[in-house]
Amino acid sequence: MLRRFTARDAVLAAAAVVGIAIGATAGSVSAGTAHKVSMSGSKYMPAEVKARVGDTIRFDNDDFENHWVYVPTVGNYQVSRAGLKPGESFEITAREPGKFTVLCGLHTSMETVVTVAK
Amino acid sequence: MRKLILAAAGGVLALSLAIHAASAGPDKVQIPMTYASSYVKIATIDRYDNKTVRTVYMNPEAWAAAKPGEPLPDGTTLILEGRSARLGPDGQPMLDANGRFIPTDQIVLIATQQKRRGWGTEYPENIRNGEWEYAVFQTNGSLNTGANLQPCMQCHKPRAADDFTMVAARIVKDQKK
Repeated sequence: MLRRFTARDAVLAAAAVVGIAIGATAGSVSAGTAHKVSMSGSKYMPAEVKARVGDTIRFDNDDFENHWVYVPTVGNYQVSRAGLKPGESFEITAREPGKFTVLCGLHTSMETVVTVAK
Repeated sequence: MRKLILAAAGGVLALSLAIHAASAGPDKVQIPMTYASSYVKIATIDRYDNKTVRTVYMNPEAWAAAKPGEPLPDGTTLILEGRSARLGPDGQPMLDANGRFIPTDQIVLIATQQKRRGWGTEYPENIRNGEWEYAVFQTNGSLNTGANLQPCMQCHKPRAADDFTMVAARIVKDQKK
C-alpha cells in the first residue's frame, strides 16, 4: 500500500543526500589532496608545500617560457622533467614521508621545498 | 726529393693531429667500465621527458672526501649512465611498487664529468665549468669522439653554486649533513 510523502520523509531524504555528499568529499580527501605549484615569472609558488602521503603536487607551467622540473635528492622522489612547455604540467605523487627541494634545470633561482608527512 | 717532401708533410700532419688530440678536452678523461660495482651510486633519477632512468655514480675516494657545502674534491669523477625505461602497452614507462621507472638492460648513455686541478683553462669564461671536463663513452668503453659536449657545459654552467653539478653537490649536502 502506498502512503503519503510526509514532512518526516522529506527530512530523511535530505539527510540521506547530505550523507552521500559528505561521503563523496571524505572519499576524495582520502584519495589525496592536489597541490598546485605555479611557475609564473620563473618562480615556484608557493615556495613551500606541505603535503601528506597520497597527495599529488602538480607543477603548472603557467609561464611564457620552458621550464625543467627536477628533484636531485631524496630516494624515490628523484625525478626530472625537462622541456616543460607553457601550458603543460608535471605531477609528483607523494608516496612516502620526506622533505625535498624541487629545482628548475634552466633557472637557478627557482626552488620550492616539499614536505610530505604521513 | 718528392718522396722526402711527402714524408715531411705526412710527419707534420701526424704531429699536428697528435698535438690536437693531446689538447682536446675529452681526451684527458678516462673512466673504469667497472663503475657500476667499483663506484658509489649516489642517485637514480627517472627522466620523464625522455623515458630513461639515469644513475649517477661517484668515485669512492671523492665520495669519502666530499664535504657538504664545499666544492667537490680534486679528482672527482661522476658517471651518468642512462638506460631506457621499460614501457607499457600505452608507450609510457611502467612503474614499480615505489612508483619508480623500471630500467631495462639497454644503456643509451654513458657520460662523465671529471674534475682535475688545472683543467678547463682552454675554454672561454662564458662556457668554462671551473676545472671540470666532460666526455661521452660508448658502451664498449671507447671514447665517443663525435659527441657534442657544448650542451653539457651550457646546462651545468649556471650551477656554479653546486660546483657545476646538477645532482652530486646536492646529494653530498643532503646525505652528509
